Amino acid sequence: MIDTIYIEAALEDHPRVTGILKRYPNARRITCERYGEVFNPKAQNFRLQKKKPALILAQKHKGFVLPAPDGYGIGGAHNYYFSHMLNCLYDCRYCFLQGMYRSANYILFVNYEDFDQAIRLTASQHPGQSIHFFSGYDCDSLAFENTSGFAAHILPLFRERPHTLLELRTKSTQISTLLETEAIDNVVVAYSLNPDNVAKSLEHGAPGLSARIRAMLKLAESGWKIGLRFDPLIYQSHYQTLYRELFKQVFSVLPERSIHSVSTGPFRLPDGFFKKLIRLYPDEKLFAGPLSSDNGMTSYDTALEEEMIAFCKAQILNYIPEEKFFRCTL
Amino acid sequence: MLHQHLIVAMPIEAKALIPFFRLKKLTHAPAFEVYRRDNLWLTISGIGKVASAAAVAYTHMLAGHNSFSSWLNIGIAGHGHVELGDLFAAHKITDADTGHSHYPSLTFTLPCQTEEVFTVPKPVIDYPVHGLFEMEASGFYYSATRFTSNELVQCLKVVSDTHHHPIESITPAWIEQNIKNHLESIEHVLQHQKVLLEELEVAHHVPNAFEAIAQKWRFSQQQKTQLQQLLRRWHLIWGDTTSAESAISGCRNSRECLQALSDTINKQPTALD
Ligand code: SF4
Repeated sequence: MIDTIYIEAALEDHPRVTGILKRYPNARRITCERYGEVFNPKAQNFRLQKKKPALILAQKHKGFVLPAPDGYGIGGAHNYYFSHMLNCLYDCRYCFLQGMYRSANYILFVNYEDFDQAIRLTASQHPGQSIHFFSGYDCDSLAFENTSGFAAHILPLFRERPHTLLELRTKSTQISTLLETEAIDNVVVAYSLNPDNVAKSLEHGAPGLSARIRAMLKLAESGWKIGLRFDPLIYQSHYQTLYRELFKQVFSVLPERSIHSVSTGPFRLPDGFFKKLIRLYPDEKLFAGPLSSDNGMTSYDTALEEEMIAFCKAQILNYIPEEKFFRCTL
Repeated sequence: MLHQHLIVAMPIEAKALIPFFRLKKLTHAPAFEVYRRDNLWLTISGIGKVASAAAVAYTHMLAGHNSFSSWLNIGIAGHGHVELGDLFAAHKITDADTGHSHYPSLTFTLPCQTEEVFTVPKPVIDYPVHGLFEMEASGFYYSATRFTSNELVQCLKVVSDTHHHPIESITPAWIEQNIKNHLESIEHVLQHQKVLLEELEVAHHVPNAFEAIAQKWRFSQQQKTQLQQLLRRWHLIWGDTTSAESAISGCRNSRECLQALSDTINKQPTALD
């Protein structure tokens, strides 16, 4: 529940802001000049703020569409991402956002039309080439959809551009927007999945595994393409049993024809982010695991990482053809 | 150890709080009047933002510059549009001199309404905009957030003057009584700040074995931090740190000790549940 909403002064009369405020009639409203005044100060504790994050309604001024980092992608020649929101309703303990931002407050950039324009422009720069856009890099693409309506807003843009592909990355079961919309061939709803015990102990506030599987199934039945993102892979002594079981559970209910792509990726964080996470959550078991730093990144050691990815890939290829499999090497 | 701090500007504000929280005056605090009971401190800053900032810094040092502290400024303020005697928490603090605003994080349910607070250099009698007018909050907040995070810094203000009840009519007895009227709310805020502090304190708890191991060899400050981290990981994996002693039994120096702990931990798979 959102109790506090900060609004940039210049946006007070913005129709999208008015609409959102109507949804939260009891929230206290606080005006600020620029969102950075609330979001960026040093003296903030992400862990404490996560107990009751506020919503910040802001305007983004630049960087609407950015090139995706190397190693992030599912086979597109050109990969871009955009973030209409910073921070997430969920609280996954492995999430890089905790290391990236000082504040746990949610920022929603309400100038969607500027995103549209940047997407149009970027798409037009690569005629005839496969160009992939990733939404949900700095947030979950659908978790806040009931309030933001962002997915509903951008879907038509992609329907009109079949040479592009949009990935909506999510753990959410807020899929009514999609179910009410005719499926779009070049839009993939990509679910991040982990074994049930990982979801329960690390993905706080996110829908459980079965709820995600049910949501995927509904979407698949409505014709939407589904992406499966087994990412980040989390090590436990019996990880093979857990992931084998997870794959069986997912692939036994989801028809292969609705699966657009499957990817896996290791648990990796830049060292600076990892150090911040340890300071925030020194009592977190995940960080007590066999992790070490190499080349500025903290991860499981290479041999273990390779072993896990090889195992998962082999298992996944029992269910899908190899061309649908991708490895995220971020 | 966690510490909770109350900062008030005037002795009369303190008079309402001291008996309720059973605070005792400290005799070794010459710069400001400071009262204390266990982990709860109260400092009388004097009037103005500079005095308030100085009182925060002074109390912080006096309390042993602790990493886990909360700060609560309690005082009176004027407002043109609300009821006399009402209590408000600050959701935005604007320094009228600089125009700079601060935004306290509101991470728990407050016992009262919230309002913007304007910190002014001199008393205001015409209340030119909607909000509370007082003289300390921006200095208090600026200083307190040097020592702790903003979820642990709050300001509570009792409305002492309005258009209908001008500033000249405030009496010491009125202030004392009207702060007393809100003791329950003040306690509520302190209690919630304490819950947050306790969470941080428990999370950062230094495992029991640390002192004993740290005395065995010479550890640099950086190595001590590493040792604490390794022992925390040890504790998370095995539930306590008694077995750490045997893992380092053959070590000859601090470096070998850290290596032995790290090697043992890294061989151990993690169970998340
Ligand atoms: S769902 Fe994604 S963005 Fe949200 S907290 Fe989890 S990992 Fe982070």
